[in-house]
Amino acid sequence: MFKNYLKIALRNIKKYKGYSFINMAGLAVGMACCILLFLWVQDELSYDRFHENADEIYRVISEIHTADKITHNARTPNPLGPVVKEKYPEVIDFIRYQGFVGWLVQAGDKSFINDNLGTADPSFFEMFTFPFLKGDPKTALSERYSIVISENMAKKYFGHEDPMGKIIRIGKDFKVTGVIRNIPENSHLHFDCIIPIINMEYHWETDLKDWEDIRFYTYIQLHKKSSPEDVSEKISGIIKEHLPKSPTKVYLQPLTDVHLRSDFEADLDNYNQGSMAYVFIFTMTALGILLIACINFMNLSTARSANRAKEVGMRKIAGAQRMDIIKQFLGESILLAFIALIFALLLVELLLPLLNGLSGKHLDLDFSGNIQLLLGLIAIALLTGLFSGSYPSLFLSSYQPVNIMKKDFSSRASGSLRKILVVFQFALTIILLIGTMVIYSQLNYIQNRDLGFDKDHVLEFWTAHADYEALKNELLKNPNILSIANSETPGREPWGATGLDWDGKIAGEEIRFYSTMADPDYLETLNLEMVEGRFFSKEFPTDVTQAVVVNEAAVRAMGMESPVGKRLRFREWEVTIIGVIKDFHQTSLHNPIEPLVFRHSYDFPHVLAKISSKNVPETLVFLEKTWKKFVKHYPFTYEFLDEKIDNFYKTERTIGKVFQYFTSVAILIACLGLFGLASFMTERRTKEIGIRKVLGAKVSGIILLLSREFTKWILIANIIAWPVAYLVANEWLQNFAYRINIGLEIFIFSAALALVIAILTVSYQAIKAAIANPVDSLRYE
Amino acid sequence: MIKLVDITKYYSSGYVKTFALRDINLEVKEGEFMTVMGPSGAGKSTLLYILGMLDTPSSGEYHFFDQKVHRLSEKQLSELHKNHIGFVFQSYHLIDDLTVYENLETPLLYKKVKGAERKSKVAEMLDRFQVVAKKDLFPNQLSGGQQQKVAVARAVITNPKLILADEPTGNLNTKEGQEIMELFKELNEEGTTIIQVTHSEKNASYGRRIVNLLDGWIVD
Ligand SMILES: Nc1ncnc2c1ncn2[C@@H]1O[C@H](COP(=O)(O)OP(=O)(O)O)[C@@H](O)[C@H]1O
Ligand SMILES: [Mg+2]
Repeated sequence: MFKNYLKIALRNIKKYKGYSFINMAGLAVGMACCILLFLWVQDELSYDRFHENADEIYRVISEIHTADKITHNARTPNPLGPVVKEKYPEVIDFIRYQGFVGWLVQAGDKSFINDNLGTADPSFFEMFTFPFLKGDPKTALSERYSIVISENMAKKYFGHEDPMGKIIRIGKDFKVTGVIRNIPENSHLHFDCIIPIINMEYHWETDLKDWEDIRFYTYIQLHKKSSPEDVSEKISGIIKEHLPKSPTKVYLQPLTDVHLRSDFEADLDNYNQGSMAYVFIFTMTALGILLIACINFMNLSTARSANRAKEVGMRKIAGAQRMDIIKQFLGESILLAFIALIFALLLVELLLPLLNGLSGKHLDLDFSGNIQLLLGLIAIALLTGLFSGSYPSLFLSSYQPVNIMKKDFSSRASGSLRKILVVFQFALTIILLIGTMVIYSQLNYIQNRDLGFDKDHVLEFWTAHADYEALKNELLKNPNILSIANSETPGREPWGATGLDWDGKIAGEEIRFYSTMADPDYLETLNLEMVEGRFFSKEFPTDVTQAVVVNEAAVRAMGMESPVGKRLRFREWEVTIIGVIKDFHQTSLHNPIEPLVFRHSYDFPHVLAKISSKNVPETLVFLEKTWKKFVKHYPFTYEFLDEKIDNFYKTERTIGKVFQYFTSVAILIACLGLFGLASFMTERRTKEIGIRKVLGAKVSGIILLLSREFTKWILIANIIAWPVAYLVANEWLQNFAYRINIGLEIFIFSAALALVIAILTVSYQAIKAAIANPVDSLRYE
Repeated sequence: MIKLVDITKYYSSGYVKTFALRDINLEVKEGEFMTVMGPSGAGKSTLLYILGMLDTPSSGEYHFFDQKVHRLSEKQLSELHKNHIGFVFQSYHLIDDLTVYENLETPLLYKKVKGAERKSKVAEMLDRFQVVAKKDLFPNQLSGGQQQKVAVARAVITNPKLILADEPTGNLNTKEGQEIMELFKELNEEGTTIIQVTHSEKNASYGRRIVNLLDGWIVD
C-alpha cells in the first residue's frame, strides 16, 4: 500500500512540476528560515548552562530605589560576597568577578594588550565549570601571584612549550598554574586569563573592604532547597546595615538568565548580551513564516484537488475507507515536507554564513553533537506535513464517489476557506512589512537626531600614562587638530551613583546622577552650549577641586531655582555649581537624558580630539607618530565618536537587517502562493473569459475583473494586520526613550506595497488569460 | 440475493424535488444476468449506485443477502461494498497515475491481501484479460477497449458476488464492445451476478432479464 501511495505521490510531483515547485520552494524557504532561527534560538538559550552548578548559581544585582524609579546595577559593594557567605549557611560560596581589556600582558619577549583579563575570588573554578587541561581547579588561584590561562593564550605566548610554571607579567609577575580549555562562546563570562581578585587592590586601586566601592559582579551559589527570594531579602538587610543611607536592595538573577534577561547599568563585561524579547520575536517570526508557507501548501493542494478527485472516487470504489484516503494525502504532504526539508537544509548551509555574519555567532549544522537539532528538524517536517496536509486531505477524503462519477463535481465548496487563508497569509506578511518599516524609521530617526553636540570628526584615545600637557602641546602644533580635551567621552554606558547632597535637599529624597570628567576644552571640542554661568576655565585654578558644572536635567532633578553658586556634597568632595550646560544625549537614545555632574579632570587618562574634516588620513598618521613619541609599550588605538555612538544601535541594526530578510522571504512565499492560486482560478474561469470576450469585453476590463477579487483580499488583510502590527511595533519602540510616532504613512505605504506586489503577481495570469484567443477555450464545450 | 422494497430517491434543490427513482420494488437472484434499460435521465445510474452502495436511497429498504443495507453506517457500507461488489463505468475510471498493474493491485491493497497472493492474482487477471503486455503502461497509453478490459479486470479481481456495469460499452466500438460482453457472459457462467445498464438491444440480449425504467418508475 505504502509503495502504491509513494508512486502516486512521486508521479504527481513530476506531472505537475510547476505546482510542485511552488509548493516545495515555499515550504523549503519557510523551513530554512525556521531552522536558521531554531539554531540561533537554541544557541541563545544555551548560554551558561554548561556549568555543573548552573541551577544553583545566582548573580547579585543591585536595585537602587530613587524618588521616581528603580535603577538596576549589575555590581555590588566589594565586601558583600564574603559577609553573605559567612552569615548565611544556605550560601555555599560566593565569587566576585571583573574583566578588563587593554592591559599590557607580557611573557618573555611577547607582549599584547588585547587579551581579556579576568579577576575573581580563588574558588572561581569550583563554582564555575571551565575544564582544565593542566593544573588543579581547586588550587589554581590560591596563590596571590598565580594566573590561569586559556588554551589559545598558552599557544599565543608560549607556542608549543609547556606553559605551566612560566611567568606572565601584568604589572607584576604571575606564575601560570593552570590551562583551561577555551571558553565556549555561549558563556557570558569571557576571559583569556584570570588572576586572584586580591591583586586588584594594587592593580585597580580598589579596597575590597570598602562598602562604598562598587566594582565587582558578585555570584553566589545557594543550596538546592533554599529560596532565592529569602536570601535576597537577607542580603538587602546586610546592605542596609552597612550602608544605612543607600536606597539599595538586591535581587538574585539566576545564572541562566544573565545572557537574555539583563538590562542593567555597569554590566560592561556581559559578553554578547542577548535579549529574551528578541528570542521571542524571532521565534514568532519563524513560526509565522512557516505558517505562511504551510498555508500556501494547503491552498495549492486544495486548489489542485479537482484533479485528484477522480482518483479519490476510484479508490473509494476499489474499497478505500475515508481513513485510507486521509492517510494517503497526509502521507503525501509529509513526504513533500521531507523533500522540502532536504532543500531547506541545503539553503541553510548556504545561508548560515550570512546569519553568522549578522549575529557574530559560529553556528553550524552538526547533527552528531546536536540530538535536539535532529529531533527538531524531524518535528518541523512532520508538523509542517501534518498541518499543511490536514485540510486538503480532509477535503479530498470527503468526496463521494457518486458525485465524481456523475461529473457534477465542483471544488467551489473550499473557496471561502481558501480566501481566508490567503487573507491570513497576507496579514502576516503585512505585519512583517510594517515591522521592518518601523525599525528602519526609528533607526533613521536615531541617526538624524540632533544629539546636542557635534559628534563628527571627534576621536578618542587614551594617554597610556604619558605626560598629558606635553602630548597636548605637541599635537596642537598640527593645524588640522582643532582642539583637545582631557575628558571622558559622551556615548559611554551610563553608570550612576546615589548619595548626592545639595543645598535645599529634602531629607531622604535621592536622585541618581552621573558624574563625568571634563576640562575647559571639553565645551569647544564637542561644540556644547551653556545656559547659565560658565564652564571650567584655566583662569580659575580652584575649579579643579572646588567647582562642578551640571546639566539642565540635574537642575530639574534636584528642583533648584537658581543653581549657580549652590553647593553640592558627595562623599569626600564639597563643591560649588559654577554653571549649567544645555542638555545633550550623553548616552544612547534608549535612555532619557540623565542628571549629569561635570567635575574638572586632572591627569585623566582619556583624550578627546576634534580634527578638521580635511586631510583626515594625514592627521591620523600625525596623531599616531606624535603619540608614539610619548608612549613606549602600547600600540596607538583610537575610536571615532560617531562610530562609537552608532555601535549603541548595533543590535537594532542587526534586527532590522534580519527583519528585512524575513520580510522579503515572507513576501516571496506569499506571492508564490498567490501566483499559484491565481493561475488556478483563471484556469477555471477560462470559459467565462472566453464568453465575455466573444461578447465584446476589452482586455483591460478582464484584467480588472480578475484582479479585483485579489485586491479585495489584500485590503482585508491590511485591515487585520494594522492593529496587530501597531501594538507590536509600539511595544518595541518602548525600548527607546526617544522614538518616532508610528505615522499613518507607514500603514498606507505597506498597504500600497502589498497591493502592488499582489497585483503584479496576479496580473501575469490575468493578462495571459485576457489576451488568449476565446475560440481556444470554447471549442471543447 | 438482492431485494429492494419501495426504494425512492430524490434530489432537492431549493424547494424543488427531482425524483430519480420512485417506489422501486425489485428482486435479483444470485447468478442472474440482468439488464436495466431506459431513456437518458430515467434513473438507471442512480439505481446502480444505490445497488452498489455508493449512494443511499431517500426511503425504502435494501436487503443484500441477510443484511439490511439501509440500516448500515458509511463504514459498514464501504466494507460490504469492497468485499462483494465490482463496478464498471462507461468512461472506465482508471487511476491515471497508476500503471495497469498497479490499478489492478489497488483493490487488493485495500482488502489487505498479502504480497505473494496479490502478485499471483494480478498475474492471473492480466493473463485472463490478455493485457500482460500492457501491464506497465498508463491508462492513457491504452485504447478504450483495452482500458475497459482493465476496468473489468479490476472489478472482478476481488471475486465479487455482484458486478454492476453502467453503460460499459458506451464509449467502445462494436468489436471492443462485443469482447467486453463476452467477458461478462463468461463471468456470469462462472456464477457471478451481473447487472448492466445499456442502450443496445444487442447487449441486452446477453442478459436473461430486462428491467425498463422511465422517469424513475419501473415499467413493463
Ligand atoms: N446529484 C444530483 N442532483 C440532482 N439531480 C440529479 C443528481 N443526480 C441525478 N439527478 C437526476 O436524477 C435523474 C436520474 O439520473 P440518472 O440516474 O443519472 O439517469 P440515467 O443514468 O438513467 O441517465 C435525472 O433527472 C437527473 O437529472
Ligand atoms: Mg446514466
